[in-house]
Amino acid sequence: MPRIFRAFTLRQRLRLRFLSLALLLLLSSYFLPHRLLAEERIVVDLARYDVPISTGFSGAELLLFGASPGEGDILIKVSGPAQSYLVMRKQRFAGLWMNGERVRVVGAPAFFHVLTSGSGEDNWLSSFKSSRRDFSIKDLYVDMLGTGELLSSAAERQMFRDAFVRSQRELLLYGELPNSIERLGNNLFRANLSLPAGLPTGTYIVETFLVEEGRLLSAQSTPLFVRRSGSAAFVFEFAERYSFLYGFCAVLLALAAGFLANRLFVGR
Amino acid sequence: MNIYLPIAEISVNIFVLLGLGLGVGILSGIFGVGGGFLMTPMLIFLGIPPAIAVGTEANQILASSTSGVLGHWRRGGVDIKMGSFLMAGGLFGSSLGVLLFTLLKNIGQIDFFIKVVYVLLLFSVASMMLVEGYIEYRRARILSRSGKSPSRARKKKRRSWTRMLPFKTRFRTSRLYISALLPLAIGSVVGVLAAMLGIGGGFVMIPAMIYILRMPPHTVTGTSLFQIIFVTANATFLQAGFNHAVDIVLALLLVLGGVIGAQLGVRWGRRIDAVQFRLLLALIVLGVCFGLLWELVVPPSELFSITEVR
Repeated sequence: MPRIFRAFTLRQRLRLRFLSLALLLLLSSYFLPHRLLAEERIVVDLARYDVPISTGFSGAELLLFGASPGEGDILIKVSGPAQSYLVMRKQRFAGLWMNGERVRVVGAPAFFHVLTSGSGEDNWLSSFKSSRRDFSIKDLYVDMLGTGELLSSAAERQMFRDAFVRSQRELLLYGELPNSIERLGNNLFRANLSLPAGLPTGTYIVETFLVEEGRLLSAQSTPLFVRRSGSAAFVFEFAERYSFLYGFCAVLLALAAGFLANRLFVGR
Repeated sequence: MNIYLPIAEISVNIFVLLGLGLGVGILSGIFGVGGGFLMTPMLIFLGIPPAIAVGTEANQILASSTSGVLGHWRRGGVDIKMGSFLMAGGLFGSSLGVLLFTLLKNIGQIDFFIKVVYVLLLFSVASMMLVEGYIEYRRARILSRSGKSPSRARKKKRRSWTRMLPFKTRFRTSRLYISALLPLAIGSVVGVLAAMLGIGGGFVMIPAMIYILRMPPHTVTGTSLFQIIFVTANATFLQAGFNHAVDIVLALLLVLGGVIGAQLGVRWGRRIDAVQFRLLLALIVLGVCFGLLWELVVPPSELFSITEVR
């Protein structure tokens, strides 16, 4: 980043970046031969390419902006890394509720949000969806493994799948946001996505599609890196990789804290 | 202000955690209890995964017991030999406890187990406190009315089965000559409880030392704290190693609040009517107990629970 940018606040920097992109696009439309424009490429950029999760993290806003060459509809899909889950159903046992039947959900995205221009009820979206599977939570393919005859029943299958999606929605990890892409004129658009405090770490993919009359005109994808940073990252990595050494350090730290507390308050 | 706990992987308000440490610390300072049996359920109510609440509590209790034992050590209140036998049992028990914990966690029943055992444990602690509090309250009233000390019921001299066990050993500091199997067995049982429930186990250990081992009062608390240090150190080490269940950041925040709270508690404890306050603590414990029971008995609004697997 050029040094001159450091003088601005983050918000100003974002605006500058957005403005310069818009200006670039306007200029290029003036200078570029018309033939290239006819290719109708959609251009998107993120205000940031990585989301650091530090000790103070309590959620973040992801700002997406870009330019679409046509009048068509825009769909932005943000999906997180694949993750496996155990879904357990409680059942009554001697008057107490405990976990019973279980299903493993394998390789589901840890984060999944679909942003669209226009409402989700629009015809364009349903006709577009029919060609691809993963443009809505309803159509998202989720692999399920279970023991016994549990999963042979379609109704049971659906119940476990619904429970999984419901939980992910409540944690704000899954969501569909119709009408969330704001058009700014001159074919420019912007969108804002709230990332929750419990954001899973990993590599995300932001895919943007331009659709006209159910036909895909242009697409672009951008990675987004969500990673732990600072001391939170250090502690997590340490505990994960060298778990017994971490345990030993936890013991030493607690002993030291105990001695210190005794010196400070008790043993005068 | 929120703080992201790196192992629990959730964001919690830092003042809530400090306040919780302070509150439980004050109670433990007043009553001389460890407070793990209150802290762990509270952490679960806060949304910390039960496994991590238990593992982290072991770490916190290690710190508070270390600061507590030093005073007893200086006063000669630690029976090292007895403590070592209890500790040997405790190391075995807590290792077994972590193993059982890991097994239950893998079959997805650890949360249920923790809640059920806590309900039983808290209920028995609360009723013991209520009965004891009531007896003391009666005694205090009789004392103030008659102006003389009440006649104590003579201790029944009965030949207990504990006297017949083999491997008799002499414990000089406590002036006892008893079977070494007793402290080993007591240490093991309390060790299992400590590792699985995130408690020091003092409130089980101390009655056992008084009524089963018949240790003199001046060595009870110090020796109990002495062995708790080794048991919780072992539990912390194994919970971190096998279950990734120790959150250092969470533990340090709780220690910070707890240490300050305990000092306040000790100071206030001298001025407060201990009998009435013990009844209050019993009611708090009973409240936590029913809170957990409620979660177990009432049909859950969400039947399904989802956990990430590696």
